[in-house]
Amino acid sequence: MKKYFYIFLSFLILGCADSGEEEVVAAAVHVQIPWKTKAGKPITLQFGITGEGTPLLMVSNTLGTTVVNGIRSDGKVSYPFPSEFTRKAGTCHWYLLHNKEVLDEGKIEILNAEASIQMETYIGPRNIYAGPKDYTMLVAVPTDLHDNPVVEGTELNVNTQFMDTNESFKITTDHLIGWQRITSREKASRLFINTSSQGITSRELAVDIHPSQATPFTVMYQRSHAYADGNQVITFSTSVIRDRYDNIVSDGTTVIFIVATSGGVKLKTQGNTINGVARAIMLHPDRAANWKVQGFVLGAANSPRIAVDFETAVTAYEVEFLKETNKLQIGPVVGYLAQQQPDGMPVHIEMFNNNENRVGTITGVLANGFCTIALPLEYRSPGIYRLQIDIGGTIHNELIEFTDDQLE
Amino acid sequence: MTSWNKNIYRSLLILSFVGLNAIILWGLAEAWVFWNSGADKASILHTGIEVDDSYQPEIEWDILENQGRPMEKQTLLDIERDYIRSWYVRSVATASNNPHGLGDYYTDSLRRKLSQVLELNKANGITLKETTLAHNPILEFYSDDGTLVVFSDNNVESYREVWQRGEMLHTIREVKSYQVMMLLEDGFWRIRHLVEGNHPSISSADIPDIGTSQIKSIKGLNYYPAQTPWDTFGSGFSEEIIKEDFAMIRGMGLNSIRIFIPYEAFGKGRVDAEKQSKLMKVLDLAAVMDLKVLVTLFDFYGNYDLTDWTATHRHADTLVKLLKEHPALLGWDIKNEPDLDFDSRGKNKVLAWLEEMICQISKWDREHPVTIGWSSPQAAELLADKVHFISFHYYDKPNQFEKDYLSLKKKAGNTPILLSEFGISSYSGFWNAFLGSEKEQTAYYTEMMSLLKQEETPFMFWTLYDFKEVPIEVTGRYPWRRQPQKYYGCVTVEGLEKPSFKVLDQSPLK
Repeated sequence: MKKYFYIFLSFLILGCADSGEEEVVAAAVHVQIPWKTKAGKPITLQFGITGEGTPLLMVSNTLGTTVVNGIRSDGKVSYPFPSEFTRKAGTCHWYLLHNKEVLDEGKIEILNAEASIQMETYIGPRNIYAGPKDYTMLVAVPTDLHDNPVVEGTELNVNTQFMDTNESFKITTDHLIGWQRITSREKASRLFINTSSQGITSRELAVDIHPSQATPFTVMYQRSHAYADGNQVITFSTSVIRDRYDNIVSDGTTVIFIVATSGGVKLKTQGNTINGVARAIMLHPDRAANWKVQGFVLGAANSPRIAVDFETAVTAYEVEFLKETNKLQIGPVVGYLAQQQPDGMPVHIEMFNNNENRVGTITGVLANGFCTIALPLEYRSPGIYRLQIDIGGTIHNELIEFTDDQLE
Repeated sequence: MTSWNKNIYRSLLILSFVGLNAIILWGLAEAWVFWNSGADKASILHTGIEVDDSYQPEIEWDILENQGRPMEKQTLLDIERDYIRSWYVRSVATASNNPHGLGDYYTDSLRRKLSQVLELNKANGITLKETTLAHNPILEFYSDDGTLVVFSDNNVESYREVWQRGEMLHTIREVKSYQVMMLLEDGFWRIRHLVEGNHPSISSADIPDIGTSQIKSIKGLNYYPAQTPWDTFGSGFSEEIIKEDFAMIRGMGLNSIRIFIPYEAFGKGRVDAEKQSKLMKVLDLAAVMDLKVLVTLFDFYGNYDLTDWTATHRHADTLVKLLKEHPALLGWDIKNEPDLDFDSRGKNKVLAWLEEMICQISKWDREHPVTIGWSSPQAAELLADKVHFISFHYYDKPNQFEKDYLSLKKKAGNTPILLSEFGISSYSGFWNAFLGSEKEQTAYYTEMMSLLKQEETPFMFWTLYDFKEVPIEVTGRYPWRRQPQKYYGCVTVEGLEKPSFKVLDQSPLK
């Protein structure tokens, strides 16, 4: 029993001794406490500590917080900072902790590492228009060796190269960055930009300067003949379209051609520019017409109107009324070369009674140069009628008579 | 013997048949599941980590006079979203030392540096629990092509706990300023540089001097409508009933009421607009009757976790800013009986949350006092130096009251004390062995009222009405707790005055 008592007692004593050793720190005296240093240089805090126990050092910067264990020797405790914390410029806070108490605290200003700047550059927009209004923006983010932004007010050189001209100017950093607006040039070409500081240069940056908006241009046309045969095409083209700085507008600029016909109808065709010239085609009309043609680059420029006239393609033709079958036979219909007119050419007939009132309309098409149409007799009373036949704008009048016999 | 064998064979046969079928079915099911699972198609979209709705720090932009391109509203929202998320994923990363998600909100170079610190902490067993509470970014620069932005984020309030191998080493409350540069990369605004700035920091922790003179004259009660206890602002909300009740309270010669705002029912961090208007109406009605209202926030709340802080802050922020100009507002009771959560949530965690909440509310409302409705005079000593007035609840025997109260008063010094809940149930039935009665209740109140008068203690008793139903969340399922809770009123469910009414009636006409 006694044995157990002694064992118990020794445990108790040991327990007490243990808690007696429970790290008591009487005071922490600064031995080596830097308050300013350069990024990348090792930092070690050293405290003279009286009493038992080793406090912990909590270190905190914008990247995070960590805890450093002290190394004790000769009553001094040293805390080497992890490199993650010595490389980051800015304020680094430290707290000496012991048993949840803060024994001491302070902060170290870590300055940028010297020399060896790394240049990170951004430019945008990468595509701008020629002329003094548009611009692009250069943003340079110079950092030191450890990727810390350089101190405010660092001077940067910006060099630009455009065609045969080199320019250079200086900017200073502010709020982590240095920036400059670079206005466009009058010629459409490529602008090269480079930034440098303390002998370190950035990569090459390029900005494309595109032609500005189109200026007024003229419209021309080309066709194989002037006849309104409804079969050939007419090609409209523009003059070389340029911007106000004499740059040929970008390839692919859409030009819309609007055709106003003499009948008051508007027709549209469009084409895209190649080397400043846009082409578009349109079918000839099938009857004589006077066209007014105008080209548009939407929202930018347009051409003056030009006139295009078409002559009728059909010469005079014969018409015969076959009484027995009530059929009208038209043809042969021939053109300016005495050639047969193409199949499918529309034939338009209007019927007037002897009071010159229109009583009917009949349509047909040519086949092999002829058109044979059966005249409808329903609702017709006997008498003389005038037929006005129109093929390709060539008009032929034919008088016919319906008798009682025919109408039965 | 043969029949035995036969039966054994039979049963083996049947069992093996059933077993074989089960295996086949299971196999088919597994195959089916296998062929139907795989990468979620939505993962192609790379939409980033969904930030938990509970992280909503206060953020107020100043975009005047930025250099470069004028800021668009939508872009600012995008920047704000990604910037806030960058803090969130970072707090998640430091809590687990896992860099997951950092790549979405930090550029490669910065992410690598953050990961190095995480590696270091992982090796040393250090984890951090941290949250930021408020950001005040000032836009400095926005590039013309809209892909680069620089701003300074001033007076960033943060709270951080440093843990090493399961032991908390330190908590820091900091106010710092940063310079931030963000780049727009594949749809995400990512932080490229984060530098601690030298802008002068203003500590927000100072508690303004707030007048508490009117605390001393409080005579009031804890209010719930008779038909909708613990659910004042629910579907049974009736202006008429509240108006009549307030008239009755005024008629009793009382000048104050204490009401409760349930945290979840009010929409947590994003407070429901309808609930806000109901709350406003209650205060309007109180103002008409010349009653002052002590608003108790965070009813039925019990998380207190650091990850939930900002959501609770937004909740309080909305309500405080809604009501702080209201003439009927008496003050803010942050939480009803938070000491009861000490066991389940940890005392330090609850106290840290409360302390921060006092700071935050005092920041938003510099006129109305803040208190905490502790469940006992002993608990009320906690944070006594932080609150503008102390309030506690007392459900013990009246003969203990004087001692407890004087002991608290001694510790409180000049801070006023409010007894914000006391009372006794008149329940008499099986569950309390028929010991209570309306007579007992009357006797209790008579004794308490004379004590309160003697000590000149401002009070709010529990409560006006008896209740037909008590929600399980309030008392738990046990009937011996639930039944008595229904009979704490001085007016019956039917609206008849109980004998205790006369004792509690403070009107001079009595």
